Amino acid sequence: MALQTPTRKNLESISKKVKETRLKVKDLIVPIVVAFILILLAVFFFVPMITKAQEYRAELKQVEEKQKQLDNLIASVNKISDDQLQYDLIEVKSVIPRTLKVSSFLYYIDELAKQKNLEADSVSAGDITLGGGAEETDRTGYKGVNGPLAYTGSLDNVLSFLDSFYTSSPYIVSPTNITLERSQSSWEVNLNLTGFYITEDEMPVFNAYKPFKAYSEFPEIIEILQDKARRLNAPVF
Amino acid sequence: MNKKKEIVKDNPKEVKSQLENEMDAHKKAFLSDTDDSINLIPIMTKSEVIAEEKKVKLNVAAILSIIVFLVITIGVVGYTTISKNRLNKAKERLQKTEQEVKGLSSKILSNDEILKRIYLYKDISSNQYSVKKMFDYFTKIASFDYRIQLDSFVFQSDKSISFEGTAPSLDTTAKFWYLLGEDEKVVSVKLDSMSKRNQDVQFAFDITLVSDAFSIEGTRTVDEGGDYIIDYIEN
Repeated sequence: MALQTPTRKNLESISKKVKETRLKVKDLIVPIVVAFILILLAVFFFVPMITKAQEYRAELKQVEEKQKQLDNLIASVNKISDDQLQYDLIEVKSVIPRTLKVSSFLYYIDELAKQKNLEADSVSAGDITLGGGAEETDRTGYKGVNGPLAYTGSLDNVLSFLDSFYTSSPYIVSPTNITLERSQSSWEVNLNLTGFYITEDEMPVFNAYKPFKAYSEFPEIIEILQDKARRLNAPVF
Repeated sequence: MNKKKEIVKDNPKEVKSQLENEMDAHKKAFLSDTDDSINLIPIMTKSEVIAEEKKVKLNVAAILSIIVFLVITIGVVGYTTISKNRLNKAKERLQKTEQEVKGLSSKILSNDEILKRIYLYKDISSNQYSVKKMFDYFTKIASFDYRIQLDSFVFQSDKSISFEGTAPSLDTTAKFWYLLGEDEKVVSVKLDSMSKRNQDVQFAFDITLVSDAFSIEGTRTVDEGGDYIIDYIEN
């Protein structure tokens, strides 16, 4: 009896202590609060910040691409000689001017016809804007002087005249609707001839990010245009 | 109580073993109660120790959570700040380069002026063709019969031509039609009109040609900048 009573009391106190030291909800409050704050921060702080950082990085990529483009542009432009550029610009502008005088244009065609011993049937010209359905001319918006021409002569001379248009004319010309008709011993040629020119903006808008290509990458065409310019600027006797 | 006393008296061995069991249980409940010193602190039971361990684990987890949170916060803020700084530096550098490019604007505009003219030339020259070559080619096809006479030609483009003429007979006209249709440079032949007269047959053909069949050599240039032209115009 003497042993039983304290043992039971001890056991009861132990069980009471065990109950008191059992894991309770209040012990979980701190981790739960921390986890909750972490989630809140993640949703309202981390995610927007990371999104913003991603935007910065995407913008940085674009800026770097632009930087690279401008660096390449500077390198390409610096390769072009200033003096040569001005010289070539003057020559090329004389061949494809801002405006093309009808008289100048007809003069060279008529001279060519005379060289080929052709007789002029009719020569007329007027200013027209090319485009109107032709996709390529419409998008570039260049203009031309256009007029119907008619010459008579031998077949060889007429054919030679037609083939010489491209090479002998100092201007850029293009014949259309060419008709060739036999008339007894001679041949008559009728055509519409267009000489081209480019109108320029008085205040050209400079865009540094427009794709750049140096004109010097087309040496053959520059040579052709320079040759035309030389013929155009040669003294007329 | 009397009954119990009797049992103790009767079975002293059983009582002893019972007491020993109780003592063992008591020892199991208390972890360290073997030393002879006086312990004023209440001794923890096994379950108390387990509970305490759990609490310690939870506290450690909370500390770790805070550390992780701090690390993540520092990482995120650092990442954003570094990204922003890099962007600002790149923008500053770009602005300087833009100023430098503006200084070259007249040179670039002059280059563009020349390029416009180069592309105009390329565009026009790409459609050039030799009238003489075309004329000679179809005259040669007609030469299988010297009596065929081609009187009138219309050159619409480098891909389209029509001509009129006379032939001595319908057979000759048919043969000429066949030869035109079989020619490698001809895509299609359309007999536009044909009329039998007293001494001859009058005919008119519309012909579609293959591309570049009669282009003028030396004037047609390879359109190496084709894609660029489109970009250039669009911009």
